Amino acid sequence: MYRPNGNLVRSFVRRSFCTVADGNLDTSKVQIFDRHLKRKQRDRAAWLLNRKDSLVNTVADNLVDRLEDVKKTFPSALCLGGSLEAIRRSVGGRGGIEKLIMMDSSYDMVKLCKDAEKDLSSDNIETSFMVADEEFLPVKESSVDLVISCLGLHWTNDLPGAMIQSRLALKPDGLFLAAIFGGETLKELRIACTIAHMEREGGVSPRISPLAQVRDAGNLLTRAGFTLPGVDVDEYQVRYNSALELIEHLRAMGETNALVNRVKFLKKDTALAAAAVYESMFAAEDGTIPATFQVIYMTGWREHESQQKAKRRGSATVSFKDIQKEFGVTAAAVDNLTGSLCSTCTPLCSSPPSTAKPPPSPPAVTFKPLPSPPAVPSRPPPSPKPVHKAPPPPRFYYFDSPLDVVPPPPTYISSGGSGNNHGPPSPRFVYFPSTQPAGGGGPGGFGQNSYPYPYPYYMYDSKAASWSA
Amino acid sequence: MVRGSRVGVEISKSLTQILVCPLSKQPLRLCEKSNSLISDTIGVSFPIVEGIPCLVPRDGEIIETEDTPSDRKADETTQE
Repeated sequence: MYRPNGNLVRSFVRRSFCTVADGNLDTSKVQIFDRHLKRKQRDRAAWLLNRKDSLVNTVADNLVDRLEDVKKTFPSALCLGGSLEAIRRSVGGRGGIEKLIMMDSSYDMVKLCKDAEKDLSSDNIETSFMVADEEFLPVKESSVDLVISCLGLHWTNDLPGAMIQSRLALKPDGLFLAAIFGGETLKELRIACTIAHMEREGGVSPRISPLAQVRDAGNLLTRAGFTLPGVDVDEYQVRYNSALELIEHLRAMGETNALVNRVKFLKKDTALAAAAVYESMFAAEDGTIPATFQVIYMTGWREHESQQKAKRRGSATVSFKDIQKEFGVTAAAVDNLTGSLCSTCTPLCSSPPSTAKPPPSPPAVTFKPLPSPPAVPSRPPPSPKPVHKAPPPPRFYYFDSPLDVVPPPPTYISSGGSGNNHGPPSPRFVYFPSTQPAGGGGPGGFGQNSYPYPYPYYMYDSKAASWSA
Repeated sequence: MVRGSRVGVEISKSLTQILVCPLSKQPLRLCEKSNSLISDTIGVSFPIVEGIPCLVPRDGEIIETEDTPSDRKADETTQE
């Protein structure tokens, strides 16, 4: 098949390309992912594509569903790479999309979508196809109403840059919808790989890419300049018959490792050990293993006059004192008011009015509406606190510089029988049983003082926890 | 979309209206002879394969003109 990078022609004509053949395009300061390898992996994913992949279809459907929550229609839409094909199938006329531009960095994926287009021609959507990189978006400013990216942006080196370019491509009052994998994704695989790697080879190398945390998603949106940002999280648990099936699924989605500092080979022993550890640690009663996929959905709009905005600082016409005079007759009301709203009040404010005085007459000021609160990025809802009041879950540190990171002291160790004393564990916790598991010790120094992992050591107790959530 | 004898040139009107160079964000020029989109500001041509323009910077080829040898201008632009 003719490859667009001119391999065929290169043997006859000496041409120079605008990037060096071996190196990566080095404009971003941080080079985490190998984009060229990612293109090749997505080529392979195009060939392995499974149209009935429930995870991808669910995420795509969920993302496109958000269009129905909005009254505005989006005549022209740009779909950045990821699960292009699933998005195309879910769109089906929702959101009033008439022109859809499908974009991916892999030529084979775009070709696949183009060939599949004839099956979907009943939609009356005019589709165009192009091959481009999300970090170098070749779209003119203010040209599309909607930008959708489903599970594609977590492979960009410069995610804020990609989002800024998407924002520039949007018309005013245009919508940006993205779904990316979050930090909890494949945490079981991460644990299993680390343990197996440590046991077999005595060191760790990065196997799972760094993923955005939910708290960062809001910051990303505001940093890119989107107004009215919205973030929400969904966790999907997918069950597989074996760990190798999980890897096959990842390959079919094009989500395999593309880190720049990855180890380029994987020993058979290590791979089998990782699969065995995964199955022993996380298997359910019926022998299937779960894998967590945490998807963060991000929503942002390009600025427009019709959107609500915070008032200019200093334009308030009413002070809290006036509110107190108007409404705060009872002590409770005043306490509530001053305690929650007015932390810088003078002591005069906080003294409750004595009940001997007659109720104050309403002041002569006319009230203007209070200023709307400033547009802060919306926080995701706090995760439900477990019943036993354990401290917040630790972060999983990534393996770029394990020696630099000081692991936090082990904060929660159950005293055995973790299931009975403390209620059902949250599915995100794993607990440390009181007895050392037999397989946990490996070659050399796994004792409590010479602790090799960069994150606190939690072992999964399969009897205690349940995966019924 | 009708496929002519020169398949590469048929890109849709809606695409040509919104496409710009990925590196310089300047408008592109369609060159039918070489079947590519040319960005004049940086002197790079991006191929069009079967009606699909490939605008990944890595795929772009620096245009060699007769008087100047292949310049690494685009390299400097990309490695800023």
